[in-house]
Amino acid sequence: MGAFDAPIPYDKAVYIETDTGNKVSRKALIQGASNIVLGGKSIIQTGAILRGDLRRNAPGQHPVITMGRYCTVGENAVLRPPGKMYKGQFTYYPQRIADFVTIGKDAVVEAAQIGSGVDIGEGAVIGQFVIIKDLAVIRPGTVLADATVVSSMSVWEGNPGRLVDTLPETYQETVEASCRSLYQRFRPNA
Amino acid sequence: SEPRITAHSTCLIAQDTDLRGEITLSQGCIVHPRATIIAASGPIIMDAGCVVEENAVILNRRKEVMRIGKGNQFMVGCRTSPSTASIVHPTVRAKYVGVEAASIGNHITFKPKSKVSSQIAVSDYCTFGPGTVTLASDPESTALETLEPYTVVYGSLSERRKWDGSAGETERAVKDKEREYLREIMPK
Repeated sequence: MGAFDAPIPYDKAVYIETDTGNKVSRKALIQGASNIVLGGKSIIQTGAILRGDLRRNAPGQHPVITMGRYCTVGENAVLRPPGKMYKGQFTYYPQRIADFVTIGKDAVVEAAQIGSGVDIGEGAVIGQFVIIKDLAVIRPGTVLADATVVSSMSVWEGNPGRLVDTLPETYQETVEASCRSLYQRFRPNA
Repeated sequence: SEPRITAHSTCLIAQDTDLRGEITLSQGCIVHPRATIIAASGPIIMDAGCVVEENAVILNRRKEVMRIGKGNQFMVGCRTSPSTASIVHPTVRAKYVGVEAASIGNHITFKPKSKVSSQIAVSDYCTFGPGTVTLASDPESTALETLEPYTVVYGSLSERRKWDGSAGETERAVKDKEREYLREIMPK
């Protein structure tokens, strides 16, 4: 992180920038956009799939996917709300993603909740109804079984995903700074 | 080849799917957006109630018909390409599957990012865990390997074990409910 960090260029024609500073690729597949709430200054890269159409069958508007600020959804990642039977009825549950979350390329995320500062590695598979607490790190390629609860500041790896490490307290500042910096560096080329 | 898709009236095929070749979808099949079904050399016939999720790839490179059975679930990002024909029962659910299996039975679940090689014929009620890669036990032989029914492939090393079939009925009932629900809420 610094003034001379390399910018991450993107093709201006491919991305839309909203009023709140979200940068969304036109080639991302966003279904049910009215049910998706993006925090602001988030980046949704090309090929990402956000299924906002898998919603609860209840009257009125309720967000299906909520994301915080400075999040990044990598290329070809899939954000899919988890679903299950409740009182004899099948229904989908909302997916709540907090600030500063980075979701790597090709990840498949069916979690119920993702806390702030979480880093989900490339190609990870996060099962249904997983709860990931703040500042966890899911290494690339990890497969988290359904209903896993990942405690804060832990590092998980493997298939099946297991706890392998924990992070120091200073990790929090570094994550926020790097997410903000990534957003700043994500600029249209030319 | 131009796509020749024959779909039952109760099928739900999202926009933005990639369907090529001669494909037949029986009743109740659901194809999510960004799913890919390519009948490259031979036709693909999917029996009732298959669900193919985002980024799943079903590919038939063989000239023979690829038959997929009932109630299969191809989850996000798996790859399937059957290489021989086999009668599969209705309801295949595929999510993100990249399965290259030779033939696919009934009520099989391919979890996200699973891959099955073209030398494997998948029997009924098998489950392929997320991220597994299922290859024939004997890589030298060119013969088809048939996985026994109720085989579960799991873990990073794609180990196999048997499932005793417990809670199978409830799972299938849940999947049926899910398919009904999807039919209600998915935009056509």
